[in-house]
Amino acid sequence: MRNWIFLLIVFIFALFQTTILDYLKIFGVKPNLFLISIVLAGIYFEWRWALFISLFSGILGDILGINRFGINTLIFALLCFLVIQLNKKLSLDNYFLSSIVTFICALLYAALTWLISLYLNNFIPPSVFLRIAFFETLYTSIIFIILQRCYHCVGDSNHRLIL
Amino acid sequence: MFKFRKKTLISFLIFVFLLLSLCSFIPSIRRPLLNIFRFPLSVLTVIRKEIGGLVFYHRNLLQSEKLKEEVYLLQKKLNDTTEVYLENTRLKKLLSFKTSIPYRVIAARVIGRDPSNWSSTIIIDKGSDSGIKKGFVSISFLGLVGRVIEVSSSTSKIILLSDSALCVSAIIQRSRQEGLVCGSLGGLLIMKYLTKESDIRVNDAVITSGLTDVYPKGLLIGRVTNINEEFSGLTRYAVVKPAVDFLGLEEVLIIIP
Repeated sequence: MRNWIFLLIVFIFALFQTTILDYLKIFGVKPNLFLISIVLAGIYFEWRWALFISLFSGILGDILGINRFGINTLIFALLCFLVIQLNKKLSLDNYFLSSIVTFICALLYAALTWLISLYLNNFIPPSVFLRIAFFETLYTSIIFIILQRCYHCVGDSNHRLIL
Repeated sequence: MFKFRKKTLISFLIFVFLLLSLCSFIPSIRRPLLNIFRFPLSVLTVIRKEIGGLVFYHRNLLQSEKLKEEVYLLQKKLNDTTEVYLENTRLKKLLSFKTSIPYRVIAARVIGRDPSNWSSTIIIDKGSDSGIKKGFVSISFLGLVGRVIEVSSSTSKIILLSDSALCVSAIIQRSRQEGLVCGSLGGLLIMKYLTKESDIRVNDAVITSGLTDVYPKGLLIGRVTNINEEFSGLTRYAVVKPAVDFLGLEEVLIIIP
């Protein structure tokens, strides 16, 4: 049940990402809720479900975006896999560590998106890339902390959602 | 640091392979799926608009008063212009000038925006059912907006002029100097390939050149805010403030050629 609720939340995140989140733009940049959902999934869910959630997030991102279909799906699956592996070594159930992981994931996502854009002959000037990457990673990490706290608030000590 | 178990790694690689196969074999999956989003996105857009109205009530009130004054002024100007237009039409007929064909437009509502920060697109609530096709040009009452890049039956995606992947052939309205206007993912546009001798000034209007069949001639793109020299020193570029506020777009018009 918890898994399906989280999938529904990811769907709502996708709708927010394309509509209401525009009001929360800082320096023309909005946080990446898809990325937040895959890091949360990687930390708190069983690996198969986490990968499924990352796949779902990626498909939603690809449907609503203009990149070639599959780019977001692949990047998100890769990042989720890294979070799952990292979670086995370190306990990421810690605000500080998990926000650093989100920061790194957001940075990797920005770098990969930029490289793919270059490969597809869509040149984004380095100055623009750095500005967007910096604000996006920072903003996403801050929003991640807030959402992780919300996640803890609605769940018990074992992070099970109270249903 | 990571010691992946062979089984985990193989599972992940199979997963990626299946994903790649899916992506390459079913690229058309995006269009029917985009239709699913039409209703929830429309509802959220209305909510977003209402929230905006409440939050920015005072600003909107001041803006409305200012705009009312502008409307009176523009109405007066319009009356004068109508006279000039009629005279122009009469003279053109006398000279047997070939008049340009007026284009038909379809109005559409913006129901969604690009989820990422790396491209600049909007989703509108009209698609192929309304006669929209890939490549059609989108405008607003203020000027050029962008181009349709993806069409489903009831929605379409428009790449905005502010996206770095979109470039438009343009001219300076005053001096007829040609250049190429490209997006920069920021709030401003860049007009490239201007010669060093080009006659260009700050506040000059930039319009579409009509050199290609894609964009009709004379659509307002924006105004020049700054002129600089390229790093090579061979050409100059101008920074253009777009006429359309891409962030505040709520309705657009699609030109049907």
